[in-house]
Amino acid sequence: MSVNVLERSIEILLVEDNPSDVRLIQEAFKEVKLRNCLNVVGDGEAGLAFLKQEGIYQHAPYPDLILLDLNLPKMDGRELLEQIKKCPELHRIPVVVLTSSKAEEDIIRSYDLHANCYITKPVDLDQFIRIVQSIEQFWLTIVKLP
Amino acid sequence: MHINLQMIVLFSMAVVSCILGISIFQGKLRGPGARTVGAMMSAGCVWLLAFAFEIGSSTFNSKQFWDVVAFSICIMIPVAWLIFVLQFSGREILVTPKNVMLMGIIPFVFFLLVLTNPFHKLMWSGMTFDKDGIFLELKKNFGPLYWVFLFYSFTNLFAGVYLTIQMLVRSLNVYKYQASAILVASFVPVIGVLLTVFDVGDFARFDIGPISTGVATWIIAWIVFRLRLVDTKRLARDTVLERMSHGVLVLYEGNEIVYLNSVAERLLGRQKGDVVGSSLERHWPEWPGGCEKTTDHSEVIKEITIHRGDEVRTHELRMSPLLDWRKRFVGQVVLTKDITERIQSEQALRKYADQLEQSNKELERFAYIASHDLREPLRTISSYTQLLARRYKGQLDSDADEFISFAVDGAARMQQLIDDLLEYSRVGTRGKEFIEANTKELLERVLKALQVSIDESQAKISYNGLPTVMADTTQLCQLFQNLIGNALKFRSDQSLEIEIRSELEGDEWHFVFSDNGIGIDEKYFDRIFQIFQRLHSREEYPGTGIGLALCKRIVDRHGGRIWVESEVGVGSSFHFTLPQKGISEE
Repeated sequence: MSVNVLERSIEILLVEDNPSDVRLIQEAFKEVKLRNCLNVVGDGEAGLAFLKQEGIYQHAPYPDLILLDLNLPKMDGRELLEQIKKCPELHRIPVVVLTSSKAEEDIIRSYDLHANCYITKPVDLDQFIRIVQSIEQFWLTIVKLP
Repeated sequence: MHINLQMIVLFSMAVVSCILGISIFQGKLRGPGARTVGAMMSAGCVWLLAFAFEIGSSTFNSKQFWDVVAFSICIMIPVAWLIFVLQFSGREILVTPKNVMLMGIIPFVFFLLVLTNPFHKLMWSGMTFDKDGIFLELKKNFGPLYWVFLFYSFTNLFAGVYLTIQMLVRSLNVYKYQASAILVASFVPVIGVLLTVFDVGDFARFDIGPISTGVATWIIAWIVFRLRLVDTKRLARDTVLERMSHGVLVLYEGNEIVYLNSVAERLLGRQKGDVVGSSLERHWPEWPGGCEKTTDHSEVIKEITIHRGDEVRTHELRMSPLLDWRKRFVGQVVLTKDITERIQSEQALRKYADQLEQSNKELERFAYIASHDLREPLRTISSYTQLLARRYKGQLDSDADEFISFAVDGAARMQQLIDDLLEYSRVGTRGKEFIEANTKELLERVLKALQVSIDESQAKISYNGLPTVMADTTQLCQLFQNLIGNALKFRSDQSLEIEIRSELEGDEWHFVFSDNGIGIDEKYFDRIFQIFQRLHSREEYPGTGIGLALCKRIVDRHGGRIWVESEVGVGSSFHFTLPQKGISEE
């Protein structure tokens, strides 16, 4: 799958229930160089359906990167993370946990479930934008993915 | 009947003894062993009278009759003497009705032997009527049992002397006088009896046995009643025992009740007279057993609950063994204390403490949850005001720019407050275990973290004598960081010097962080330790006012105290203590 990523737009799945955060992340990605497509779902079940291309997500693209909030309605982020990492078709997709929780147990649990990285949402907007840019830069340009 | 001088002497002595005896029994004269002295006095009186009558009798039969009476009476005296010494020397506990009965067996046997003497003649034989001179006298040839009796009497006498000497050696000085007087008293009849028995000099004709015994009982009476120091002590002891709020029970071997005070009477629901001399188990079904149950007869403390109708009361029983001079267990003293109120108040107190702890925990949890959950919407506000500022600054009018900047600033400040509140609540909820903490190492770690600000302010920091304490190292670092951070922040124009020292005071370490900064007015000494209290405007010195409140909470959690000494323009010294051994958590 080593197609040149630059030739098509990057598909990102954002699993986030808070619309203000969704918008903020969208705004941050607007300021990013790469051509990207941000797909948003509001809960864990929808996230899993999207990834498995089930129901309304039948034609959903296969994402290059997943941004995952932990506290979600229906199926929460931890459970979704577990499902993703258990599934052979999905477990190679890098998952960035992006949450407001600073709790030690959340961090440990996420890495135990093979999250690729854990980021706490910063309060400051500038920092937030920097972080989104870093995610983009690191995972989509620096890191070689299969 | 002839009257002579000897008889007059004997009669007068008998009268004196009689009066003294009556006074004692009427309770006019009191003292340790008073009743025994009274008994001895009465016996002496009868002996004197009998002897006087014996002398005065002109017929053989009446002389013989009075002789038997006199002898029967004098048999009692050695035992009475021994009992008196036991009582006087503080061994009353041994004088139980049972023991007195046992001690009385031998004199009683001798009494029977005296009465039956005409049949066996073992006490004396060949009583003859000696018409020597003016007076008629009985001449007796003493039989073997007489010598046994004499031996028995002397054994009693010397046992008493031994106990008195022991008392003389052991007791306080105030009693030495009395003990010495008793010794003197005890030797008066000894000499008298010896002189009579062994026919020394003229005394053979003039039996001084009863006279010397009479004198001895007077001396003893004088000791007991004139030198009433012991009596006062005893009265005081009785009063203490009766008035005290504790119940007192004195038990002899086999838990036979020897004494009980009025509180114990109420506890048993019986009067003294009904229970003294009988077994405690019979009168007190709740009795849990005391020293007699332990193998080494050590002190026992037990709690029992007693149901009286609807009322349930708890009593604490403290049983102390009574050991004799050979360390043998002879009985025990039971002290009872009604601890119902104490237990009730303890329970109430524990309940309040639990409630308080519960509500504190809830409050902490509330503060934690509130600050944690407030972060989320606040982040939205602050992000979007910042986004507004970022996208539209300079594109709207200047008013809009100002409003946006106020909103951004306010959100940022609120964010800081919530973070601080969270931090503050975490001292209680997220505290770590206390471990051995090297405060010198911790301080150096903090200084390293503050290196930039220290360099910037060119502060000179000195420290010495920093110990190892039991503490939560993270919180101790926070404490040090806040105190040094404050010193750096509130520095004056002169070059900043911070001194940190500690000293062991009693069982706690006293730390002092001194600086030569701007200082604090005395009226704010308490306020600065309250949460979000500030003394300066944010423009002068930034901050939410959490630092010292956090310090106080950390020190509180460690079981210490924190306070400040300061003078405006001179500097501040922040003091706090930490227990040397640490406190067990919660």
